[in-house]
Amino acid sequence: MLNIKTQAEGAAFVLSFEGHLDTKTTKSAEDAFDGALAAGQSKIAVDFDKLEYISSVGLRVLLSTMKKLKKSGGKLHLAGMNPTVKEVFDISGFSGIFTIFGTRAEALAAF
Amino acid sequence: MIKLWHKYALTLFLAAVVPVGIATWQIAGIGSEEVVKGAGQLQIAVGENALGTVRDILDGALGEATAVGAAIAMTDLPADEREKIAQAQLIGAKYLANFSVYTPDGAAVQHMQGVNKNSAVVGGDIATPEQLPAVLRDELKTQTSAFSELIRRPDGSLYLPLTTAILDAKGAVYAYGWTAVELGQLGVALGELSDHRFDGNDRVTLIDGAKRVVAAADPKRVGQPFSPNDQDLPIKAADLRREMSVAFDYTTAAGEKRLGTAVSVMDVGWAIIVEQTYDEVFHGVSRITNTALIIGGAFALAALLLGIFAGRRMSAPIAAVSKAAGQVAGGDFTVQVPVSGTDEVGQLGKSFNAMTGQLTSTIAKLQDATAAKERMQTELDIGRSIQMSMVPLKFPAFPERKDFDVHAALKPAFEVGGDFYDFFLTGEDTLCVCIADVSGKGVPAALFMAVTRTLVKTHAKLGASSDEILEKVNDDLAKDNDACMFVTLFLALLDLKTGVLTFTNAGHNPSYIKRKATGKVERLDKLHGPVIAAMEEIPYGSGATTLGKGDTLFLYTDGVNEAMNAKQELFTEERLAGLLQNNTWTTSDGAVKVVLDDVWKFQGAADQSDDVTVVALRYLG
Repeated sequence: MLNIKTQAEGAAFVLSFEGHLDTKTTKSAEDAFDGALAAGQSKIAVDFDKLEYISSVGLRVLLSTMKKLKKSGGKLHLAGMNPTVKEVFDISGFSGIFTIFGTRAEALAAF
Repeated sequence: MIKLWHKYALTLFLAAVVPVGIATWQIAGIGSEEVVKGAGQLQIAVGENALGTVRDILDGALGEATAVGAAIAMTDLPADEREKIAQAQLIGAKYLANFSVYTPDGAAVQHMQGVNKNSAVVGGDIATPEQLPAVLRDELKTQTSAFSELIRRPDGSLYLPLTTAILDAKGAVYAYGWTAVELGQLGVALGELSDHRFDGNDRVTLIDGAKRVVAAADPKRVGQPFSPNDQDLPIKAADLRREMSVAFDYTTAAGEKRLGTAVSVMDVGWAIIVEQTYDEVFHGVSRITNTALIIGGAFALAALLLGIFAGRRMSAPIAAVSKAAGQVAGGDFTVQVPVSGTDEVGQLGKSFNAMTGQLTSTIAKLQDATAAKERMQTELDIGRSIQMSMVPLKFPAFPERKDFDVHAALKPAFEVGGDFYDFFLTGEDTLCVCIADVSGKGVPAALFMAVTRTLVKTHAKLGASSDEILEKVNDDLAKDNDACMFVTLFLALLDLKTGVLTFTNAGHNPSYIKRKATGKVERLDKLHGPVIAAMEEIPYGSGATTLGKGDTLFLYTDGVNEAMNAKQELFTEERLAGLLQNNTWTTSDGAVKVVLDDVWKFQGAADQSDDVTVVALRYLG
């Protein structure tokens, strides 16, 4: 299960993920990101505070979104990872590719 | 096959035909009785008409004979005067041909000739008796007149002798008179009756007591028996003396059925026979019957046609539904039936159409779903077969080498998974071993896997170091990687002479080394760079260690540590590390088996959610 809440925070656009981002839920995450991109959002923050698990497929969606944002001069900030999720980013080496913040507020302040 | 409309048609046909049939039967029956009755009445009427004519003649003749006799008996006048008067009477007579006078002894006194206008034959042709027979004179003692046996002329015509007693003033017999009554005109009269009543058929006949023809339209029959066989005419003289008329029917010797009436001419014992053949009598009846039958038949035909029409019309919607149901049974779900009306049949049609419509859309959805599923399944199957054709499956892989021993196992998951492993010698003394997990599944993942493996092998065979190999592979893959696929990859190069192991971990699970000497496990937890293909131009690092004789390098994918049991618990890396720590093996095969056995035991009946891959490399020095 994956719940995605979207919210505009000033010039930024926040997606809050809750649950599991894996093979079964990757499509809804992809749709949410594509929707934000199509709406012209360039400062996108993802709040992982309530995300329990992320699989390699989930990483791929984030990578894809980041690449698209980079092309249009936008930014993707990730925040609020629990240790399990953070470990996946660390193991995969994605921690070095993504811009990761401790909290949502920090992520928004950095735009 | 009996169809519904047959039953409808038969029902309607019977419903219409039975009453019509009964009515026709009744009409025909009534008609028959009526016509027989009518024929009898007609025959009596004709007979009485004929009787009138006969009576006119007989009575007229009698009256005329009486008048002539009265003149003869006027004894107070002189004889020549009386004769003159009598002659005058005779000449004025309508029916008498002549008149002869006899003495009471029967001796002829005088013969007078009449001028009968109704006869072509003059009275002189008639053989007048010279002596009046005693039989006649006896007869006239009790009555004043008597008709006697018909007399035939040489030309075949008949006359009827009439004898009268001529009485004087005291009532005594003064003389006898004898006269011949012309009957030719009677035949003419009967012929006219036949013409008028029976369409010219000679059906009215006057016969005498001996059943001989007295008068008929056909003069040739006169004097002949009524019919050649006397028994043909079933009338008795006794009946005719009692009854005015007697009805009869009989069959002639020729086999013709006849229906007739005999009307009695009482005082001469004659009878007027009026008869018709059955064909003539029932001509009218059969006409009525025929008419009734034709009308009945027309009704029956109309009922049949109406029955067929209505039956077909009534059953057509049901037949259509029945036929359509057959088509549906045959697999055609698009069939629709024409709907008319709001009755049960109309409702049936509507329900049927709704049903087939529903079926069609359901089938379409099902087909789409099945097709999509099949497509996905096919893709997964293809991806799986590419995957399995890529990894070395032959073990022992290097039977001629005594300095190392490598074994691997890949157990693909049903749905997800893009694991692969490889090992090969890059030169005489260097073994390259790698394990990887491609993000994604199906054909794209398999192709990405194939490209990755080829690139790894290519760069490894060129003698590059582990970090160089992965940097190059990463650059090649990250270029034009629009799908954003990536690979976690651990690659190690083992110098078989020295046991020096250099390795690079690109976002993959930490590998383990089991030291033979100490029995301890080491976790190669350092990450040397992110996953392969995520971004270009990423520098990768590398690590190094030296394997002792009997040490084992153990590689695995996340299918192992993330294996799940029915309680949704993860196998965990800790469990794996403990397993490696607490077990020993004498072959690489044994190391693989130790891990897999425990993974399957842990997983139990739960579905395998990801590929499970393990590689074990033992350095034997």
